[in-house]
Amino acid sequence: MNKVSCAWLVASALIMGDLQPAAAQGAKFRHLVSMYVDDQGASLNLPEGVACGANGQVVIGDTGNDRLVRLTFLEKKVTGGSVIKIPELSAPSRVQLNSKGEIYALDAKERRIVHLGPEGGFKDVLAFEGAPPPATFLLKAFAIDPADNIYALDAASGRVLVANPKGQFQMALPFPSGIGFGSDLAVDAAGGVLLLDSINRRMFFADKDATSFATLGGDLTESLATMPTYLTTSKGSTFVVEGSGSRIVSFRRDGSFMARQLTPGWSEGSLNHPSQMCINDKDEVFIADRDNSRIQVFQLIR
Amino acid sequence: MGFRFSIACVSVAVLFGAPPPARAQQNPYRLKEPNQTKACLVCHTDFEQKLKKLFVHTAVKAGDCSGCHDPHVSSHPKLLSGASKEICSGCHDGVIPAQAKSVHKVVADGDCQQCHDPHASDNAALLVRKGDELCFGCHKEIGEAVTKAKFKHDPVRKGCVSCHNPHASDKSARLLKDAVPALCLKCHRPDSPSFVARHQKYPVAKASCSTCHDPHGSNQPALLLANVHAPVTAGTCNKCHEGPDSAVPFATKGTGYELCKGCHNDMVNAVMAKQRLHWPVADKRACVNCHNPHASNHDKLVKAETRELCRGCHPDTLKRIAALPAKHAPVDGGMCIACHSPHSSNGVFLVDQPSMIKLCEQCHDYELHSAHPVGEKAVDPRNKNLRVDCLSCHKGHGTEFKRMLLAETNTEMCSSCHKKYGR
Repeated sequence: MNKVSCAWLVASALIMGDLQPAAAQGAKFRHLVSMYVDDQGASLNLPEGVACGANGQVVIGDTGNDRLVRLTFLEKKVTGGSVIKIPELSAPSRVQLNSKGEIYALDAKERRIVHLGPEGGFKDVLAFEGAPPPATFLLKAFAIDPADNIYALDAASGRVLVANPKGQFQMALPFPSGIGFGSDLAVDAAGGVLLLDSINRRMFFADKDATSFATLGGDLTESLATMPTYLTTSKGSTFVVEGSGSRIVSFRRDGSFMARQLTPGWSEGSLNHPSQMCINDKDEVFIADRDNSRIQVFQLIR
Repeated sequence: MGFRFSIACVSVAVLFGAPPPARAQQNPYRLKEPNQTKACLVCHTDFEQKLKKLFVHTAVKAGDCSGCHDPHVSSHPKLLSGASKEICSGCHDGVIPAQAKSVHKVVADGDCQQCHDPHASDNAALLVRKGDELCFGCHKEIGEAVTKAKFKHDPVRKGCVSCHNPHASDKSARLLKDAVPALCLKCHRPDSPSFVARHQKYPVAKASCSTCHDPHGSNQPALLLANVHAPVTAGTCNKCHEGPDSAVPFATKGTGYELCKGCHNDMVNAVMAKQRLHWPVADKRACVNCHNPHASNHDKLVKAETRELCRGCHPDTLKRIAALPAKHAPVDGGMCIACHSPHSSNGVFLVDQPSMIKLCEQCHDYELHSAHPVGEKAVDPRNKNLRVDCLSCHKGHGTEFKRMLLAETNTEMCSSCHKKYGR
C-alpha cells in the first residue's frame, strides 16, 4: 500500500470517527475484475448505473457518455461490451433488468424510465398511466421485483409508484411521515420494498401489498458515517452505498448493522464515489465506481 | 483530647452562630450571630463596600457566608461548599420548569454568575449589568441589529424580558414567554381594521408572525424582514395562496416547485434542464426547503447563512471539514456555493463547470503554480480512464496536509502516480 493510499485510509478513519468498528463477521468483498472500456476500447465516463441479470448479463449506465454498455460476465471473465446509444435516453444513471433480460434505464436528465429490449432497441417510456395526481413525476430511482413489476421513487410527490410489467400504474406507496429525503429504493425477492432516507439515515420497509412504510432498524446514524445514497438487497441482506464515504455498509434483514466494507481510493478494489450496485445469483457484486470511471466486480463472501 | 483539638473545637464553636434553618442541620459548626459576618469581614474588607449596594443577596444580608462557602476547605473554587449550580438551586429551585421547552444555556450549565452577582449589585435581581446591556453582552449580533434598526419593536425598547423569560420557558422555544403568535397577540389585535387590511384579510392570527416580521427591529416598515418576497410586498398573497375567504386560505395553489414556476418559469426550466439536480429542489417541499417564501434577513430569501443551511442535510461533511487543518478558503468561509451550484448542474458534485480544472481556474491560475501536465491529454497513471486534474493531488474541501494535498510530502504525493520514484 503506498503512502497516499495510507493517507486516504487515515482520512477514511477520520470520517468513521466515533463509529462502531467494522464487524469482524458479515459480508466480505473480494475483488475479481474491473471494467474500463467498451468493445471498441472507448473508456467509460463517470458511470453511475449497473444492472446484472441471469446468464451473466450486465448492462452499464455509462452516464457521462450518454449510453449503455452491454456485456457478459461468466466464469469470472468479461466478454462483449457493445454500445447502446439511442436518442430517447440521455445520462443513464440507473439501470435494471427484468426476468426477460429487458433493459430499463433512468434518464437522469429527463428523470424518466426508458424501456429497451434485451438487445437495446427502444420500446417505450414508462408513463405510469392511471396514476393519481400530481401528474408531474420526477423519478429519482427505481427497482424491479422478480415478477417484473416496476417500483419508481417519485421525489416530486414523495411516493413510490408501482407499475405492472406493462408499465400500467398499480398503486402508490406514500413516503413515511418525517422522512428527510428518499434517495433510493430496492425490492426484495418477496416483493417487499425498502426505502432509504439519506438525510435522517434511516431505512423503511413495506411488505408486498402493504399500503405504508414502517421503520427498519431505527436510527442508522451510528452505522452510516457519510450520506448514504444507494441501496440494494440480496438474500435477506441490505447493502447501502455511502457515496462520499466510498464504502458499502451491510445490514441484516431486521435492519441491524452487519459490516462495513471497502475503502476509498484509486487502486482496483477501492472506490471513489460509488453509485449503483447490483448483486447477481452467484453473489457477484457489480459496483458503478463513478469517479474512477469503471465498474468493479467483487465476489461477495457471506 | 489534645490541647490543639480543644482550641479548634472552641474556635469552630465561636466561628459559627445561629444559622438560617435551611443550612443549620448541614453545618453544625456555624458561628453564632452576629459573629459570622464579622469574622469573615476581618479579612474580606472589600465586602464593606459591596454590602452598601442597592441590592444585597438575602444570604449575604443575613451574614450567612457559610450558607454558600465552606470556611475551611473545599474542592470547589472560592471555597464554595458545592458546585454553583447546586448551591443556587438549593434555595432557588424551580428556575427550570419541569416541562421546559427551552432553557437558557447558562442556566442549564448552572452558570448563574454569568448574569447574577452572588453577593450584591446595584441592579435588580442582582444582575451584573443592567437588563439589555447584560443580554447583549453575549447576544452581540442581536444587540447590534437592534441598535442599527431604523424601526424598533417597542417591547425591545422596554427590555428583552418583555418577551423572553431569562431562565427557561415551558411555553415556547427561544425562551419566549408564550408561543408565537399567542405572544404577539397579547399586544396586537388581529381584529382591528388596520391589522385586517394590512394582512389582506388573511387570518394570520393563526400564522407565525416571525416568518415575515423581525420581532427585534428592522429597516423595513412594519418590522418586515430585510428581504421580502415580491408578492408579499405587493400584498398579492393570493398569487400563491387560496383566497382569504377560502376554507383553506393558507393552502397553496400548487405543490412543490410547480408553484414557484408560476413566476420563476425561466429559472425553474433552466434548473430542470441540467443533468444533476440538487434533489431538495424537486421534492415535495421543493424551494421552501432552503428559501423562506415570505421574507428573510438573508439574500435570495434563503433561510439561513449558506453554511448553516447546508449543515441541515450535510452535517457530517461540515463536521469533517471543521476538523481539517488545511481548509479551502471558500469552505472555511462557509461559501459552499462558491463551487457548488445550489440547484442543479451538469457536472458531478453539483459543480456547474465543464471540468474541475475550469472550476478551479475561476480563482486559481494553475499554470502559474505548477508545470505538471493537467487536462484532457494528461492520463492519470493510476487509472487510464482518469485525467489528471486539480483533484488528482488536492482535495476540494481540504485535507490534513498543507496546500490541501493528499499526502504530507511531495515525495509521497508524486510517487503515488510515479511509482518508480517511490521509496
